Formats: sequence, structure tokens, C-alpha cells
Amino acid sequence: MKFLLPLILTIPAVFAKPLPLEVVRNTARELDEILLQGQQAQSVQANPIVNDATFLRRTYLNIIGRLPTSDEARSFLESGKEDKRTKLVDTLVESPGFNSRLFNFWSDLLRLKTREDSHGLGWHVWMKNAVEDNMPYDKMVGEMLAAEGHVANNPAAGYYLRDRGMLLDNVSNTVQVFLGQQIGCAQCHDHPFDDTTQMEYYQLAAFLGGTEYRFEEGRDKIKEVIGFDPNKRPKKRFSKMTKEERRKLGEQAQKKRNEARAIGGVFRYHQRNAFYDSPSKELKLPADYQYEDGKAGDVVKPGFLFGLDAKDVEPDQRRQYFADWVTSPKNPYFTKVIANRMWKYAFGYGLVANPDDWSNSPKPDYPEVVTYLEEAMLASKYDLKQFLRILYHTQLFQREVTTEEPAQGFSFNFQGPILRRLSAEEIRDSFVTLASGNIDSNTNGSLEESWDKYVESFNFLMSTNSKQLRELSTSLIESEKQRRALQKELSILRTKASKARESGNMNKARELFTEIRDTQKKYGKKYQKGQIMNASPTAIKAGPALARRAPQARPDHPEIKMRASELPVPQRGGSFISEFGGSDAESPSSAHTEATVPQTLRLLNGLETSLLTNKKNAFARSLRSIESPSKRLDFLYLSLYSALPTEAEKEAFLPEVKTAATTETFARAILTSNRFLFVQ
Amino acid sequence: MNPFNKLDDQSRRQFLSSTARTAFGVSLGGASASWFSSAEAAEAIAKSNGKAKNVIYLYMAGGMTHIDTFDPKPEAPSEYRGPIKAISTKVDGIQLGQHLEKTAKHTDKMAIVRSMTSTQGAHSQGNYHIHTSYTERASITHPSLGSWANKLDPARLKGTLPPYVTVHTGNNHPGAGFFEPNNAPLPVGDAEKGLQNAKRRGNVSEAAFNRQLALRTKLDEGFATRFKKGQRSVRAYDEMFSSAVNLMKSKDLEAFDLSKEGKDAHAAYGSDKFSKGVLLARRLVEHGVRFVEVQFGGFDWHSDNFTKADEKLPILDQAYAALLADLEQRGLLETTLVVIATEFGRTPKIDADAGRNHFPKAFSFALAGAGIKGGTVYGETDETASNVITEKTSASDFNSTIAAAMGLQHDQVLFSPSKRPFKMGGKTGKPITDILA
Repeated sequence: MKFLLPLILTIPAVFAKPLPLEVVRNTARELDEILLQGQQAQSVQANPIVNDATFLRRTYLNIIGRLPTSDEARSFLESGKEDKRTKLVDTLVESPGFNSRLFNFWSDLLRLKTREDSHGLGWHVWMKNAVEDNMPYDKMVGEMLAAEGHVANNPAAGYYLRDRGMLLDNVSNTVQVFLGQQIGCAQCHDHPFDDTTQMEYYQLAAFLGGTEYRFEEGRDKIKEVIGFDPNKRPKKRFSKMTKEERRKLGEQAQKKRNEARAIGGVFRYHQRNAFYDSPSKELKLPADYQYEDGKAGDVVKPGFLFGLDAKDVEPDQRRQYFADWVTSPKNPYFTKVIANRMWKYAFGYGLVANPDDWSNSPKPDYPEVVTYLEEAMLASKYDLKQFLRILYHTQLFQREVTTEEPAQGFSFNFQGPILRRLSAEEIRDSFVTLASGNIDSNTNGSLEESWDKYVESFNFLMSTNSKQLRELSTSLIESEKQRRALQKELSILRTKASKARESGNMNKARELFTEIRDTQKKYGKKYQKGQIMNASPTAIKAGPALARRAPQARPDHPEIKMRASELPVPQRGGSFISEFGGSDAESPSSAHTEATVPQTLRLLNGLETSLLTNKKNAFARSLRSIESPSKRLDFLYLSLYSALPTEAEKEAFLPEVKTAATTETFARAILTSNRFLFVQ
Repeated sequence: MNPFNKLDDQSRRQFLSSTARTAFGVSLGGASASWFSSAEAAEAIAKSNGKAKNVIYLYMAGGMTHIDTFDPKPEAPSEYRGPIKAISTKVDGIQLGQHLEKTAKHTDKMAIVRSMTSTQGAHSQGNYHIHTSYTERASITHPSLGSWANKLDPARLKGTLPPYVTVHTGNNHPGAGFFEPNNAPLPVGDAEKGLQNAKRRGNVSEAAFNRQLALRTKLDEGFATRFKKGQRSVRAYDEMFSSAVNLMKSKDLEAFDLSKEGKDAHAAYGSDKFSKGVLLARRLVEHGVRFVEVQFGGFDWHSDNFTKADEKLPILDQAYAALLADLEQRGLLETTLVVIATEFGRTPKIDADAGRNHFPKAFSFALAGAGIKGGTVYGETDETASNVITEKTSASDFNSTIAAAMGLQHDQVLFSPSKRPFKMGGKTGKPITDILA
């Protein structure tokens, strides 16, 4: 069989600069050729090329995750230029919407939780920047896997803090997400189907065996302030001291310990946002270990999967080794797995059917394509934007979807991409675009702002001298006391009030409730949010770093003028995105597009549909301002189906858009139709 | 002895009707498939008499500790039992962890299975296994229990509400699996909000609404011709659409509305999100919903096990005890089975972070109410709750028991679209007849 080397291999790939169009097109063409050869060998007939309207809708949704506006649709459809498809792809790949859709992909795969302590926020902001800077994939993964310390110093550490206290689960997620293997079973016993044994699982986890979830720099700081190191031995041997000397030493130590505890209060929430590698800590086999190659409690030496050797790993280098092993081009899965994920991202289905479980997926129909993609990924130096751009330039991306869905878990023949329902974010973002126009470049700003504030205040905290730190500690303790006293007072008042109400003394109850409100007002919201009350300037500066979560800032735009990727994740239960199957961030790639009754009810009777069709937003306003029914129909079709109506459709539906009321009904019907919810 | 003789009239009818469906309908299968219920199933069903018309299935997501709840070991060394004490309960000889003090008053209604064991020690796989009786595969999604129940006995479905509702479940719920989309549960994302958008908006007239429905069909004509046959997801949207429109006409919609419950009910169940879910489950069952699952997340206590126990277990205790009392008072406990399940137990030995880790080797489930012999403990673990020593029970056995309590045949074979045979009770499940009544 003829084996082609990717053409881009012959051109030096320069990171962060778009590849020349010629290179992209040649590579895409070569990819198509290999696929066609594979299809011919299996007598698979590739689907025809789609018409402009289908291409338009697919391209917008698959590249930037929303429908085109009616103007965007019209300008593409009416353009007579021959290279308009190529141009559209390249424009969209370079637009902010590209980052938006890709960020949603990462946030689902990596289970981002913005609201989890401060590390959730820091990691979110870091990931967002990584996507916007088009950070090469190997670098991005490597930085997360090698991260340690406090999240304020290294936000990528959020990757591990996300699974704080669940190191073994974190390891199996790492292997699933970046290496496409399910080893979770081997956490408790040898994997029944794969080769991974429980010992191998532990050997791999042993690279992270030094993990201690604590804030080491905070400890150092306390030691520095109180001038005491509990681990340091006294100069004179304990056995040689007099009784009096021992007593004194003991007293002194106790005093210092109390002091340390008091000052430690300043860093109480930092324990949750930091971890460090203790070189002396090692992973041990679990108490119920049952195989003959080890005993419960035995120390496990680090070892790699896939028969790769781990020699002479220094204890303080374990995490870096682990990161290097996962992200090495020599790792047999790292490159293939991301190439397959990107393929699925572009065409809706993986060449290897289950991207999370290569060992239990059937062999791909076209192994040559997988090999080629792996080489292209290497050649592009893990530049995902350019890699996707190549996929979007293939003929395959322009073929009609298959009318038959792939059989779950089986390899697919890729006569064309697959038909899919719009993702939750795509539906939401299309609605938002209809209401507000193209808002792809509107940024939230508030997440970055509160993260910056947190980091700034953290740095201030770490730079305080011992006088300031003591002062902070005193005001914290004082503030705690006040808070407790206040809560007690409020609780007594509440009990009194409800007793008064029960006994029918409504006047008294009302009085008491007013008193409760006044008391709350007097102390402001600070006491509720855990901030320092009666704070000194030092305490104000250090405040954000002392609180449980970074302070919230005000977003630059209202929600309806921002893409979903600008909002905190995951969306709460009952929200539009959650209802349509958006990620719940509990397991990797948990987002889904399954139909449910609440979704349909929401489209039929929900606020979103009504806002769109009868309120003051761009879509509803345009509908009302267009006077000619035929233009109204065009507008509806362009906005919602990204197509102009056919003659038959005009004939059938022109009567529906005669009046404002019937037009609204018609628009609502489109918004609930399958043609709207699916992308071909 | 012929097990058929044990069947009373009603269950014989059910039995025959589903056998007939099996023979003529969806599940006509290969020679290996058992068309007829085994003697084992018939016996189990006869024992429970299929009393459980409804099921409330409470799922503790994350892996609930067994030694601190339903399988306390007061005699175990302190590095196992920790600071939690065992308390005595309404039934002599049955002890529970100290946080379950309200539940302790209801052990006469409960059967506690202390001999659960599985090999699935990771969350999503464990969760999947308990919900479906099968282990997770890339090639197929198996149906969850509620979907099995409706599929095996659609004749019993009535009323205007959906037969299967899930409350606060995550995205990885297996739902209808390979069954047709109309067997999927209706998910409620927030119990307090109930089922939203079930009413036509005030500014949309009935005529306009009907016109909208008709137009939708017309708009989708071409799309349907092209894709409906080959694409399950397209069919699913059409089916959900008609279900939704039917549901809007239901006179029972207020079943979803928690504001219809008095203050006392709210206070009795508790103020947590989970408590509201349990209260909603009771309302739904009362209005004829057959299978309701409520999830309670956050049981994955790898560190600070005991602080978290103090925080979470009283919430479970209060809601569960309130539910049993409430059902009993309304006479619904005779027809409602209440289940507590989770993906696995926790390591009995406490680790350095005062945590407990994943432990599929031994854990506990609880059943109460319809079809269940109250005041029973089934199976036993060793002195540290580390090994099951009697009556090992698999997820399949447990699910077969639920099937039997509902009057369903756990071993009736149905075929997936890829023509593979599956059963509600998994490959090897056997109902625990000792705890059926």
C-alpha cells in the first residue's frame, strides 16, 4: 500500500503562526486521498458534496459553535466567489468564536469547576488563556501535569486540586483523558480485560506519591514569624537537661505552638488551594492488596505503563518525570489520542470509536488515516488550531452527512460527517446571537479581574513582615469573635421572633424582625461573606487572600450578551445549558445531546423562546420592522436554518408570515423543529 | 412442586401477559433465550406478590460508607470504627451507625443487605453497574432499572404522568439505554423548581399553540423523510415532543409542585436539596409515577470522613425516616418500595487523612416497604466490615430482588437492537427470597 508522508513535514512548522494555505490544502488533500483509498478498499461510497447552505450552517456550528447571523448567512450565500468556502473556514478559525467552542470542549473534558475554592477560578482563567494563546497541546498538558505548589503561583496546579484528596482517581482520569485508556478498575484489582494490573496502576500513581495537600510556604512563613521550627532539635541533648530546663523548654514550645496556630488562621483557606511534593513521602500498596507481587503496605516504586522504563527517578523529580512521560511524542498514545479527539470534534465521531477507551474500541476502519493524523499532529507541533484547520479543509468536511447513525461503539465508515444535535452551548449561543447579534468578542472580564485581585492580595500576604502578619492574625481572631457574637445575637432574635409569631403576638414579631434586619444592615454583608470586620488597611489589602473564595467582580456584559464560554462552569442544574445536556463536570466528557421532555417543554413554553419572539431584541425587532412577508420569510429562514426558502417552502409558508401574530407562531414552530436542533 | 400453583390470579395474569409479549413481541429470540420465566422468578414473585407498585430509589453518589451507617462494628479496633458509635434500633439485634437515629425507629420496615459486593471500584463504572446489573461497555448502553420496569410491564402504566422520573441525577445516568427513547426517565434538575415550562405561556393562545405544533410537523417533513428512519436521536426528539405535549394536558402536573406541600412536610423532610428531592418523590409516587430515583451527591470522603459524616448523614437520616413515616401514614408504604443504594462502600480502615477510600468488596444497601420482610438483616461481613462472610450479594441479585418485589421477572430476556440478550437481573442475578414478603 502506498504510504504518504504528510507534506507539512517538509515545511518547517512555526508555532503560533498560521500555516500557509497551500500547506494546509495539500495536507487536507492528502488526508482525503488516504481516506478514499481506504474506502475504496472496503467498497464504501463517499457521500456527495453539500450545497452552500448546508456547508454554511455546519461550518459556523462546527468551528465557532453558533449559527451565522442572517447577514453573515446572506453574504456567504450571495457571494459568487469560487474560494468562498476556503475563505470562510480560514476566517472562522481565526475568529474569537473558534476559541469559544474549543474552550467548551476543554472545560467538559477536564471537568472544570470555576466555583470550587480559588483553585477552580485560577485554573479556569489559565485554561481560557491557554486556548486563546493557542498554547501547543503538549505544553498545555505538560504544564498541568508538572504543576505543584500554590495555585496563585501556578494556576495550572488546579488540575490536581480539582481532585484534591482523590489522587488515585486523578491518575485514572489523566490516563483516560490524555492516553485514552480506562485503568480505573485496576485501582482495586487487576483489570479484567486490559493488561493493566493493580501493581502497574500503583506504580504509575507512585510518581505522584509525594503529594501532600498543604501549604508549605505558609508553614515556612509562620516559622519565620515566630522564630520557631518544631522540627529543629534543641542544642543541648534532652537527656542532659535538668528538670527545670525541660519544663521551660516545654512551656516555650507550647507557647510557640499556640502562636503558630493563631497565625496559621491567616492561611486557613490556603490549605485547600495548594499542595506540594514531599520527597520523602512514598505511595504504599493498599491494605487489601491481594496479589503475590507485593504485600499490603509495601512502598511502590514509580513505573510507567506500556512497558516504558522508568530508571533512577529522583524523589523530587517524580512529578516532572510523570508529566514528561505522558506528553512525550514517544508515548504510544499521547499524540494519537488527541488527534482522534480533534477528528471527532470536527466530524462528530472518532476514527477510534471511543476516544476514552482505545483498548476496548474495535480497530478503526482506516488505520492509515490514524497514522497519518498522528504524523500531522507531530508535524504541526501540537498546534490544535492548525490541525483542526487542516480537517476543516478536507473534502470530508464538505460531504453530506450519513442518513444512518453509526452503531454505538463500532467503527464508522465516514462516507460523510455524522448528523448531530447542536450541543447545549451551541443552542444557547445561537439564541443569544439571535437576540444580540455577533457577540463573540464580548469578554466577561470578571473572572480574570477577581483572579487578579486574589493573586495580588496573595502576593501581598506573602510579602508581609512579621508585625503585619501578627496584626492580621489579631484582626482575624477579633473579627471571628465578633461574627460569632453577632450570629448568636441574630439566632436568639430569630427564636424570639418565631416564638412571638407562634403565640400570635404579631406586633412583637414584626418588631423583632425589624431588629434582625437592622442588625444585619449595621454589620453589612461582610459578616456573611467571611470578610474581616473593622478591617485595618493591611487587612483590606490582604482580604481577598484570606477569604474562602476570591471576591466576585461584576461582568463587563450582561449574560445575554456573552457566549457560554464566558460564564462560570459547570452551569447549575435547571439552567438552560444543564437542561440541554451541558457538562456537569463530574466525569470527563459528560456533556450529552440526549432528548428529554424538559428540553422540549423549555423550547415550547420557556422564557428563552418567548424573549426571542416577542420582546425587544435584535431578532424580534427585525421581524417586526421587515414589511414584506416574503422578506420576512427569507429573514426567518436565514436566521434559523441558515438557508433561503425553496420555491415549495415559499408557497407553503408565505401565508404564515402575513401578520405579526402568525409570524411569531411560525418562528416558534421553527425553533422547536428538528431541522433547527440538528446540524447536517 | 409446580411454582405456577403458587401464583395468585393477579400475578398469573401479569405473568402470562408478559410471557405473551415476550413470545410475540420485542424479545422473540434465539434458542438460548428463556421465553418463560424460571421457577425461581415465579417463586420470588409469588412471595412478594408484586406488592411494590412503585419504587423510590435513593442513590448516594460517590460511594457511601457502610461501616458508619448500615453495618456498624462497635467491637472493631478504633482504626476501623473511628469515633462513630453503634445505636440500637426498634428491632432487637439490629444496630445502625449513630447518625441514623431517626432511621432507627423504622428498622421494623426495613431489610438491610450487609453483604453487597462488586468488582467495580471506580465511580462511573460502579454507578453504572449498580443501575444496570451490567458492567460498562463501549459498545452498548444498558437500560437502568426504571426503564426495565416499564419495558417489562407496560400494561401497568397508566395515568397521565411519565412513569419514570429522576431527580438530581448526573449526566452519566444510563437512562433508557438501548431501549426506545420513550422508556427514558424524565429528569428533574431541581426539585424545588419541579417541572418547569409545563404550561402554555399566557400570551400564546390555544389556537396559536396548536397551529405551531402543526407547522412544526410540516417544517420537518423533508428532514424526517431523510433522517427519521436511520437516526435514533431524531426519533427521540419526536417522541419527547409528543410526550411533552401530552404532559401539558395532564391534570396531575401539580405532582411536581412542592409548594403544594405544607410547612410541616417541608420541615419534616429537611431543608437540604436532597430532602426536597425525597419529598418530591413522595408526591410523584402518590400521583402514580412508578419509579422515582433521587440522587444525593457528595459521599466520596477520601479525607475527613467523620466531619463529612456529621454533615451529610443527618440529612439522609431525616429525609429517609420522614419518607417512611409519611408513606406509612398515607397508606402508601404497602405499595411503595424504598431503596437506598450506592456504587460501593468505603475502606473500613481509616487512612492517614482520616479518610476512607473506595471499597467495592463489601457494602450495604437497604430496602423498605412493599414486598419486603421488615426487621431483617441479610448477609454479614467480618469483624471489621472488610469481607463478606455470608450470603454474598451482587448488584444483579439486588436488582433481581427489586424486580421480584415489583412482580417483574428478573430473568426475562429482552434483546438489544444488536440482537444480544439481556435481563433486568443481569446475567446471573437471583432474587433474595429471604427478604421478600
